[in-house]
Amino acid sequence: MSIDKEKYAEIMRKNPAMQAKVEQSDLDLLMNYIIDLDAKDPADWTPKDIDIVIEHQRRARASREAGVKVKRPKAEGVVKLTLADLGFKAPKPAPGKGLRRL
Amino acid sequence: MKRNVAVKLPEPQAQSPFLPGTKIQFAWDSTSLGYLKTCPRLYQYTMIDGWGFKDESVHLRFGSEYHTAIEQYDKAKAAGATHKAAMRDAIKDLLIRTQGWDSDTSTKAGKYKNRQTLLELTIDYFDKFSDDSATTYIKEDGTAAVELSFRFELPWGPKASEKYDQQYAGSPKENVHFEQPYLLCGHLDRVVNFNDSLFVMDHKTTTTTPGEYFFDQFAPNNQMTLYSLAGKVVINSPINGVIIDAAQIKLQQPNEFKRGMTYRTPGMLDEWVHDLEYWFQQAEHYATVGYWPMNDTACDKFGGCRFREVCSKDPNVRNVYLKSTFSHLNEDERWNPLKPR
Repeated sequence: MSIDKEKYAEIMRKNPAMQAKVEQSDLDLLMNYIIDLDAKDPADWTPKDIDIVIEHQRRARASREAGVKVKRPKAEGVVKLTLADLGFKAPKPAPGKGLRRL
Repeated sequence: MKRNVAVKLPEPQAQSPFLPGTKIQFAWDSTSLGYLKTCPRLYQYTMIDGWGFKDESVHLRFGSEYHTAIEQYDKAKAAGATHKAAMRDAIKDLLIRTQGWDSDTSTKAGKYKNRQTLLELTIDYFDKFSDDSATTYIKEDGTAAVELSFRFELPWGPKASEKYDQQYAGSPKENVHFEQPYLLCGHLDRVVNFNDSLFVMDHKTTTTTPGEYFFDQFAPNNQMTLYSLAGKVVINSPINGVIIDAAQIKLQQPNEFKRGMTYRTPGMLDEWVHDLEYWFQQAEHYATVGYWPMNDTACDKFGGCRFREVCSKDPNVRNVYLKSTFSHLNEDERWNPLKPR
C-alpha cells in the first residue's frame, strides 16, 4: 500500500499536532548535523561547524531542563502513525478466524 | 573528496609486569590489586590466564574518550585558552576520534554509552565547569598536572627477587636487597587546588544517581588511597585526598554532575602501604603454589562478577564455559599496569 504524498501533506497541514509529532527535535538536528560533518573531511571542518554542534546540544539541554521529553535515537526517526491518522480505514478482520471464547 | 591518511605506527611492546619465567607480579596498579583483593580467582582468570572479552568494551571506550576530551580541555585552559576555544578544540577532536564508533544501542550499556550521549555529556561537563573553583595544579616544570602517569618503587620486592649481599657484614636485613622491587603504577586524571588544598581529581561516569551511597564506596577504597599516595609522590606535596568528579548520564533529563571528596590522612596512607606487604606476600604465595582460591563472598559485588557464571559450574567443566564466553587474550591485549596510556 503506497501513501499518496499530496494527501499526506494535506493531512499534515490540517493537523498541527501531528505536524509537531514529526518535527525534528534539537537532538535530531544535532545528530543530523554530525552526520553531515562526518561526510566531510575533518580538515574542512570550520570552527563555526563545531560551534553549531555545541549550540544544538545547548538547546537540547535547555529543552530537557524545561521538561520536554526527549526522543532517543531508536524511536527518534520513527513516528508512530496509524492508518487512521493518514486517512485510511483499518481493514476489518476476516470473519471466522481466530479463537472464540466458549 | 580528499582524505587524510593516518599511518598507525606499531605501539612499543610493554614490559611484562611479572618476574621473568614466573607468575609473580611485581608491577601493580589499582585495577590488578583490586582484582587480587576482591577475589584471587578473579585475579587469576584476568591477570594470570588472560581471559577477557575480545570486543572492545563500550564502558572502556566511553570512559576513555570522555577522559581524553576533559584532559585536552583542562590542558588548554591551564595554558591560557578561553573556555570557548578549549571546548571547540576538545569537541572537534572528540568527533574525529569517534567517527564510525557504532555502539549497539539495543543493549542497556549501548543505550547509555554511545557517540551521541558521549558528545552531550562532554559538552554539558565543559559548560557546567567553565568557571571551575578547582584549578589545575601547575607543576614545578610549568606544566599542568593533568593525566599524570606515575610509577614508583616500594622499598621491598618479591621474595623471589631477594638477594643476599655477602659484602655487607651488618644485620641480616642489611644483607638483603631486591633485584626487582615492587612498583606501583597508574594514571591520575588531574591534580587540583581546591580551597587552598591539593586533591587528586578522578572522573567517573555512571548511569546511577551519584548520591551518598555512590560516594560512600570510595572510603575506604583501594584505588583512591593509591591515587592519594601517588599524588603525594608525583607532586612532592601533601595531598588531602581525592575529589570524585561524577557525571551521571541521563537519557530523558539533563545530565547531572556531582563532586564528592574522600580524604586520606598520612596515617591512612601508611596503613595501606603496610597492608600491601601482606597482600603482595599472598600474591607471591599463590603464584608460587600455582593456586588462586575463590572468594565466594565477592561474586555479587559491583553488579556481579563477570566470571560468576563460570565459577558457579563444576570445576571439571569450567574450562568449557570459560572458552565459550571469553577469549584467551594475547599478551599485548591483556591488562598490563606497565602499558603506557
